[in-house]
Amino acid sequence: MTDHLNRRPLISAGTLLGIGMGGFVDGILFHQLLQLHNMLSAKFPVRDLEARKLAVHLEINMFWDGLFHVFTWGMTAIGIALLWHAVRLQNVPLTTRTFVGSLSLGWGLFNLVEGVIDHHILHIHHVTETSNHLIWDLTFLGAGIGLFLLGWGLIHFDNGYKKGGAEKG
Amino acid sequence: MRIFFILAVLIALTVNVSPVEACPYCESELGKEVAAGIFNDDFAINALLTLFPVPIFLSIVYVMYSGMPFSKNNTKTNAREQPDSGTSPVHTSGAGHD
Repeated sequence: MTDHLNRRPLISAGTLLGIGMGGFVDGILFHQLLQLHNMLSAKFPVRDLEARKLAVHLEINMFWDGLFHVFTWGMTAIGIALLWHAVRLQNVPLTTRTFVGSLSLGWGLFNLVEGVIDHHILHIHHVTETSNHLIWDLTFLGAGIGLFLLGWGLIHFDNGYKKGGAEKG
Repeated sequence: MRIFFILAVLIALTVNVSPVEACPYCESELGKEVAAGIFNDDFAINALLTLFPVPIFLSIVYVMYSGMPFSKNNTKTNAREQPDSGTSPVHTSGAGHD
């Protein structure tokens, strides 16, 4: 009957939510508010074009950004399902530090995986489509590493869960 | 039964109402140019490129769920190792809280 505490369900749920929310930050802040980092902006550039061509490329990028948002919504939805699963298990310690750490870890993972694959391997877009995009791409990766390490640290050094199976802090 | 009725209505609406009715410029030259830029021979490859990271993210989280990246001591702790914790033993039946 008595066995062990298991943090993995909470960590995986938080990580997936972090990936989804990191994706939403990317989509809302970069794609929509700052109007850069669009999904296929290397293929359909939105700089130095005549108005009509610019409008077409913006609309095409908006479509692929929409598909990207489908992905982030899906990650968030699965994350919520995993979180629901985690809170229903009695051997999962629900500590805030582990959960927040997992969110940060997920966001960092999002930047790292998306950055490495899309910016540096596939080259389908860069943070900015300018001649000095590398510095911005590396900053994006740096932010990912920072968030990942912050999350890992919060999870690794969380001893609160050892004091009580389901304490909330 | 009601859900099937609702689904049937939704399917009928989807089939009968052209999506361009919701799009103010889809019938324009610009709209057709946009559609041609999206729905062409590159559609599948563009979709693949856009969604390429998804299986990687899901694989990472699956590995996290079933174990590996974090040391065993930090993810699974034997409750009997904390005799001074002052808490009740933790049940691991997998049953929900409610």
